Amino acid sequence: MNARLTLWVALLAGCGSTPTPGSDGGAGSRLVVLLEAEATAGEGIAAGEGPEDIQDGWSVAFDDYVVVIGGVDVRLAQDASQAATAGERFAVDLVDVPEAGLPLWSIAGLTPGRWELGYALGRAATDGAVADASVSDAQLAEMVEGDWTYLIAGALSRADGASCPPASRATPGDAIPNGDTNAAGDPCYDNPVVAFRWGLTAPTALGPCEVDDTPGFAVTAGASTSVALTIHGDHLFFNGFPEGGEGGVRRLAQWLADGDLNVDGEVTREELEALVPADLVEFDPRFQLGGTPVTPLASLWDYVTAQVKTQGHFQGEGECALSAAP
Amino acid sequence: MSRATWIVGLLSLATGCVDTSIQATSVDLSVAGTDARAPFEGRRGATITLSRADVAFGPVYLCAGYTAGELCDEALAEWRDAAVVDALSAAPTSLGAMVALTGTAHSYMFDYGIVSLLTSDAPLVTAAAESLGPASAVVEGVADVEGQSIPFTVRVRVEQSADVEQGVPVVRSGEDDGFEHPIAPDGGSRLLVRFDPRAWLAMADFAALVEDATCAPGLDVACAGPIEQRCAADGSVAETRDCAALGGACVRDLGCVERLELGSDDQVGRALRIGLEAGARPELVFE
Repeated sequence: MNARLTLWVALLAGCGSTPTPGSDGGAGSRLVVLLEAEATAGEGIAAGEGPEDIQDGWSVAFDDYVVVIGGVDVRLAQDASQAATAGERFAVDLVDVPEAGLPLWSIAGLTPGRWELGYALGRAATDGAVADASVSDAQLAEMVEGDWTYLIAGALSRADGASCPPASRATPGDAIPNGDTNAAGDPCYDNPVVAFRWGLTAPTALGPCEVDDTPGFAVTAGASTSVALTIHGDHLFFNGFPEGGEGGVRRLAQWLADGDLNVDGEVTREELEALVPADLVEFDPRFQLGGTPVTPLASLWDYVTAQVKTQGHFQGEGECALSAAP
Repeated sequence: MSRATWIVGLLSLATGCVDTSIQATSVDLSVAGTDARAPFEGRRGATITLSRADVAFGPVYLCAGYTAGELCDEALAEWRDAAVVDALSAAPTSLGAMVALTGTAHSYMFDYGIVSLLTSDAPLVTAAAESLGPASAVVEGVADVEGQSIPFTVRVRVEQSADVEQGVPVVRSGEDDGFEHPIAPDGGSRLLVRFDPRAWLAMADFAALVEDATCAPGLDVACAGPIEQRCAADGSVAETRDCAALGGACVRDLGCVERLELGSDDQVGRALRIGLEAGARPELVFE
């Protein structure tokens, strides 16, 4: 709960004149929780100069964007002892989530009033994730084997794309530099498509969630209320860890292309584990990493993990505080 | 109006119905470093000996919510000044009192002397940061790597980018910090922030500064260990000198240097900046 919310609740509680919502019993009030995927997961992100584009010439498309999500927890704002949970964890491929969302959880019998909401990005094995129809048996087995939170596969593309791995760490083998260098003087190699396929363990507890400083959701007597857990797909390319509006961030991808140390057209977990952000000249002052939920950021793999932990939102762009990992 | 003052004002207006258990109070704030002048192991076989590690610290805020940053619109406690901390001195130094409210703090955020403002594209550079260059941190020492001793000074600014989240402090606690501390009434709480400068340089790659190379076409200078080779146009060695004998080191692309001056454009400078932003956090001891 943020400071403003703490104060607001304290003021309401202190006044003591607000009628207790739901004193009529509220039988039949129901919450339906949908999973919603930001369009970036299914449509990818284009190269361009626009605020939603990747601004250094690369575009990205995702083949798989599977996430383990669930553990929806709701609490009545004015009486936290009134709580309910939809604990199921589902493995869902965000690439295939319909635009209208996927109804996955339901909680009945809620007392009318305003409720706070939290949820979790879980681990496939530890949390016993159940595969949605969008996830194959093979994908689920792989995720369970690794106890992953995410399975993300895709590729960066740029017609004149190149990887410029730091010379002191690069292993280009017989690859021939294209004659260009980056700002650090590292040789560049033509690399127009850079693929990736990663299993990431990044469990995260999210909540309470709010939209424009309004916490959670409201339930009225006898009615059904729908809310959406929204997973963004573009934080991998953010140049920082904004915790409020994302309007100021830039999306950049050259750093990831430079992580392809052997310039074979795929950037792997092992390559990202061999690098720290400071090894890449791309991590210049355009990047501000002070808000990372993972400290220390001891490798680029940690950096990727930290970014995907922040992708959980509420009702589109609503924010959810990151609390202690479940 | 400051974050905490805003809350105090609101409480004053709402005293007719507010929970009177929330009280204005203060937190005694002090800072300290770590006695880290002994050599320590750095990345890729380097041994680092520090002789100076000054950092501009502040402003600092404690927040009620689990997530600091923009979600901490109003702080539970704040110190809006900044001071230079000698991070090699383990002795605590008092910075004064944080304006505070009673309650439980679950997160924190702070700057390194350079403050991003919502009202201006240019950041506010505090007197503490001005005194360092301006910079947020200045670290000096010697890196021993591959048989060479490289005296170095690295100076960096750590500031919030307008491209990320203008107006928000650069360092915010994360879920891993497990920060949860009650703030006592009547000034009964103390906060000590202890820095360890060794952690700032955990990602610094001093080994990349040296090489065992020889002249080649297109090169002006090469280092064969401590031996500087000035290269002729045809790639042959035009002249050599022993940097170690001159009291310095032979550094890749530079040749002999007595002291290496590094900044944010260098790997070591990036490592220091990112280490301050996203490396191991300072220890926050609450009493």
